[in-house]
Parts: sequence; C-alpha cells; structure tokens
Amino acid sequence: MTCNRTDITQQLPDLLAGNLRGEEAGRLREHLETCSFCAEEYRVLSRLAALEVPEPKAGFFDGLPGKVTRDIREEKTVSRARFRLPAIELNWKVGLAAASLAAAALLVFLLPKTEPVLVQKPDDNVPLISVAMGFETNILTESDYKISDVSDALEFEVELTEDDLMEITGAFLFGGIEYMDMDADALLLFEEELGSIPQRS
Amino acid sequence: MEWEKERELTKRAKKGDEGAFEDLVRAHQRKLYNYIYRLCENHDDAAEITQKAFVKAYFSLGNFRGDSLFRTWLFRIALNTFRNHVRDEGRRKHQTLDGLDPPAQEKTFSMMVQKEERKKLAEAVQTLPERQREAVVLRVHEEYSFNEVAGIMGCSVGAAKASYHQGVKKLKESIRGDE
Ligand SMILES: [Zn+2]
Repeated sequence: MTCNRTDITQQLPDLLAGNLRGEEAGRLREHLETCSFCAEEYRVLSRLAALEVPEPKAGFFDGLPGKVTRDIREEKTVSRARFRLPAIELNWKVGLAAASLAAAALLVFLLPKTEPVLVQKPDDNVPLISVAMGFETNILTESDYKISDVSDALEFEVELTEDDLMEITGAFLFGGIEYMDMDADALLLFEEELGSIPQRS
Repeated sequence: MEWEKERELTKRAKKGDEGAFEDLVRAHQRKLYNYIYRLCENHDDAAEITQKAFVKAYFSLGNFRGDSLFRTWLFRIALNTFRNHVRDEGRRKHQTLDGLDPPAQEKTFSMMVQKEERKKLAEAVQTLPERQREAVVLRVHEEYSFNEVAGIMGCSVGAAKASYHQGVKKLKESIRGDE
C-alpha cells in the first residue's frame, strides 16, 4: 500500500494544524476518503500531534529567566587577571589617552605607598576602570580585591568580563598598564587583540 | 509576542540589556522547552538544553539579523545545542520523573489509557534516527514549513522532506496494528 501523491502527504501536517484554506483543505479531505495510505498517515499524525508535553514542576518557568541571566553573567566573566598600573611617567601618557583613564591613573598616583591596600568589591557590572577610579573612596575597606603596592606601582587582581578586557586593552595600548599576568583564557583574548602580552621581567 | 515588540527587545538585548533579554526568555521559554522535550522525552535534559540554548542565543545576538523570526532563529540554536548535548552524553539518559509534577492522586481509567498510549507513541518517536525525529517534530508539532524545517536543521529542503517522510513511515510501521 502506497501513494505517490507527495503533494498531499507533504501537506497533511498543515491540514492537521488547520493552516489550510477551505479550498485546499477540501482537496486534501477528498483524497483522504479514497486513499487508505494517506488516511492512515493522517491518523498517525493526529495521534502524534495530540501528544502533550508533561507540565514541569511548578515554578520551573518562573525561575528560568533568572537562571539564564545568572549563566550569562557567569560566562561574561572570562577569567582572573593581575594588573599593574604604573606610576608618574606613564601616567602622563594615560592622561592623554582618555579622561577616565587619566582619572584612574591619577588616583593610583595619589595613593600612599603602603601595602597591602584593600579595595571594596564593586558591583558586578562596574568595569575595571571604574574600579580603579574608585580607589580613593573605597580604600582600606573590606574586599575581594587585593591591591599591593609594588615600589612605585599598584598591583591588583580582579574577575574580568569581556567588556573589561576591551577597556583594559585600550588602557594597555596607551601605556596605562605596565604588565599583566593572566590565565590562559584571558591571555588568548588579549593576544587576539594585541598580538602578544609583555610579561613581568 | 508582537513582532514589533520583539524587534525592540532584541535590539535592546543586543546592547546588553539583561531585562529585555529576560522578557524574550519569558516569551519563548515554554515553546522552546516543549520543542526540546519532544526531541528527548526527558525533563532534566530538556531543562538543561533550554537554559543553555538561551545563553547561547544571548551571546549570538550579534548574528541575529531580524530577517527571520526570533523564534525560528532560537530554534536553530536550540537544535544545535540539543545535537551537541546528545553527542556529549554519548547516549541519552533514561527518563527521570524528578522534574515533573507528581501524578494526580486519583487517576481515572481514561487517564491511564492516555498515559499508556502516550508512552507507546512517544517511545516510537524516540526510536527514530535523530534527523527524522527532528524533522517530524518541527513539521508536525511546531508547524514549520519544509523550507523553515530545512533552515532550522541546516540541510536542504529535499533532505528535510526525506527525513520527515522516512520518520513518518517508521512511526506508521511501529504503531500499526495498535489501533
Ligand atoms: Zn494518498
């Protein structure tokens, strides 16, 4: 038992879903009355379409958007990295580069040379440069961010997002950052941007 | 969701607006979950794949041109996520009822018959080769045209039709005499 009317069989799901106009639907129904092959297929499709998906536990759909957002934020954090913002001479270049970077560097310059300096953990969405700009107000408060004074420069370690990396890349290009120690993932991203990363000598 | 509203939300999400993206998730999560559930008949896998697919979609928003519907685009991403999941698992897990609603206290006879029938047919769908299952689910349940099915599956229209017909043929054979 077979049927060579592929034009009919291909449209059976549309008939089932009620997506065909009267004329077209009529043509198909007419065929179904005379063709047992297509009639059987239509019955199988009907049963298939009637299969319902079991309802997940209550609250599943309420919680999903939040879970997705959490995963997105987690994925945005690509890696940890260590930075060193240099002192006076390089800060002039930074000053020329961009106002925000200049402000960041200036604050670094103004910091007393004590160690270690603790900086308050900023909000998740604050990019690194803002963190740097926040040195003055947040200094010596509780933190995840450890900053140590290394002779004439500051070192700190942070969780980075991809956006942070792009900003820091800019700072690096303008000489705002002297060197970086990064893990493999961050290194890869940076190398794509810059070619290579100068490491601590 | 209206097309214009959706367009606005995708635009904002592209710029990193998490709230806008959450609205898109809210609007499409049920459809997407059901679609994936039909492909794997397993709540845990469907939940995981749905979540992963949305995250992937967020980071791929730059590639969303808006020339197709967001849902169609999302389904393509979700199908790839599903395929990777199946590949990574090696084999599909057995059905777990953990994430599903507990069965109602009083079961009527007709509910039990329905459940039995559901199980049989659902099992038949699960025994179909992956591509055939994908084509059948997209065409019958999601009501996509063969052109759209091909677009989502990443194959030619001819291949999509062939997968569909082979799948339906096998389903017919496996439940024949059962009526
Ligand atoms: Zn026929």
